[in-house]
Amino acid sequence: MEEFIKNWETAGGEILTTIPKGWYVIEGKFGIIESGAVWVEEYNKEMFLSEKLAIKMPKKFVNNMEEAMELIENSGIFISGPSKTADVESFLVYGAHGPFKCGIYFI
Amino acid sequence: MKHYKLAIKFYKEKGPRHDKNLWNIRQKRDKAIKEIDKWEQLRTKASEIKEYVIEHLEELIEEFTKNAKKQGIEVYYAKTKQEHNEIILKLLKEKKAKKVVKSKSMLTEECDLNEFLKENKIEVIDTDLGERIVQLRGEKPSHIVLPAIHTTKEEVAKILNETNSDPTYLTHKMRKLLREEFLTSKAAITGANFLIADKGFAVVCTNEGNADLGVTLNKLHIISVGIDKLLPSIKDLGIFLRMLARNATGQKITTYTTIFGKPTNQKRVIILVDNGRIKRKKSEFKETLKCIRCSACLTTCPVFRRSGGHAYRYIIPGPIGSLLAPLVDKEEYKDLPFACTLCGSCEMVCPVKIPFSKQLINMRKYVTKNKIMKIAEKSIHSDKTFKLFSLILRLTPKPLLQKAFKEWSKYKKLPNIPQKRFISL
Repeated sequence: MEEFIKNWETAGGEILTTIPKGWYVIEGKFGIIESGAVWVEEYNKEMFLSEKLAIKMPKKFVNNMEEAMELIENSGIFISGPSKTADVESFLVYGAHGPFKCGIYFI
Repeated sequence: MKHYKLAIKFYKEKGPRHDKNLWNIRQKRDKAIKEIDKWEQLRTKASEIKEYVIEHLEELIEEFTKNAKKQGIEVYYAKTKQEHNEIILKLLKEKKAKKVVKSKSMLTEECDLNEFLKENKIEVIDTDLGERIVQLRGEKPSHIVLPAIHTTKEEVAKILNETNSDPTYLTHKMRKLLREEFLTSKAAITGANFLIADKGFAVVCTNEGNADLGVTLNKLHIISVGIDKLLPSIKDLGIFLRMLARNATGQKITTYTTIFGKPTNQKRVIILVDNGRIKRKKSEFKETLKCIRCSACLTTCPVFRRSGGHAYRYIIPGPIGSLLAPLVDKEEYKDLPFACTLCGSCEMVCPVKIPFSKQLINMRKYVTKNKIMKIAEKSIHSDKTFKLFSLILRLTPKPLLQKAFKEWSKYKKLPNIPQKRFISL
């Protein structure tokens, strides 16, 4: 779990202890330690239009993407931190098109 | 204008900074792959999967089509880029779509889709920030993952009529402008990084979320994708997702990796594009079909880093572009396989082990029509004729030789002419 959190934070993600007001909440299924990503089966416009996104998820993890594939049956999305880009002179900026902030709230 | 002339021009203006930015990314990539203890085994697996895909391409197309249809996805097969563009036009007309948002897709660039739709009075908005920058500048991407890597923040400020050139400010300004376009579009076009034959899924990787925003806001989602993006099964996808972002930008994974299957409340269409790929499968350059467009070969290439992508003039530049472009137009791009020092760096970083050095040498042969060069190449491989050549060159006065090889001797001293072949020393 520690390594997952480290990798998630490297991707610009946060760990939430409460869900602050105004954050759009979705449900995550499990985390991928090596990638610092969360598997999410919801898929709607609010997830990308909102400025702050909270992912509620259980403390369930797989080691890497190869293990993750065993658990995937239908469509969905891996999310790793907030939307980002480095297209203006290689300078990393959060909030390219999607959320500026993205946090995990463990249940 | 040929590669070296454009390269000299670019290097004088922007070369050192471009080189430094790309080298930073290469270093990040090296760090990221070291975090995976069995990287070389992953490369071997990835390479084997891709070899399997090339050998079974036709069957996999069939399997994918069947499974994607089961998911409720409409599937088209386009033999040529014209066919691809016509299918898209038909779909957009059915939806009466006058504006379409597009996320980055090298395939639609390969098909000149933007120009085609513009002629048909449909507005295409590129939504990847880098690609939007080059679209507003009236250019093409100079790098397949970092489309605007050749531009400065001042240049970006200029196209937005801004005096503030702070990257965060400019990025958020672009976000605001593009948000308007997203909300008024009628269809979304994306590419795909992978197609999963056993499930009928298409997989799209982005950092910005532009593909997802376009897809979730529109009733029509068109995926344009080359048939070389097929993978046999979802198990294989895991291997490639471990590698792609690490090898491309040094990230552990892209921010968003979307697996598209059954559509909800929208129409999803996949256009499988051949455009010369089946023909390439039967050629000596079939191994180029293994490419997953990670861009690591561009980023590491000492020539690319100094020349910039536009010097290659083809939509896919760098080492992989030097193999693909001459297959599209042999005469126009015959200089590209020579824009290379054969250092082999591309081959070292390639996640699917494309044998670049061998292929680039073969491509040099492929583009060399000149009979004299061919005879020269043949004779230089025989000891006797080599000796004769050597004698003639050694007897020629140096200034005359320098004149004959003036492009070469502009930057380097002419070497002493050896008397024996390297191999016979």
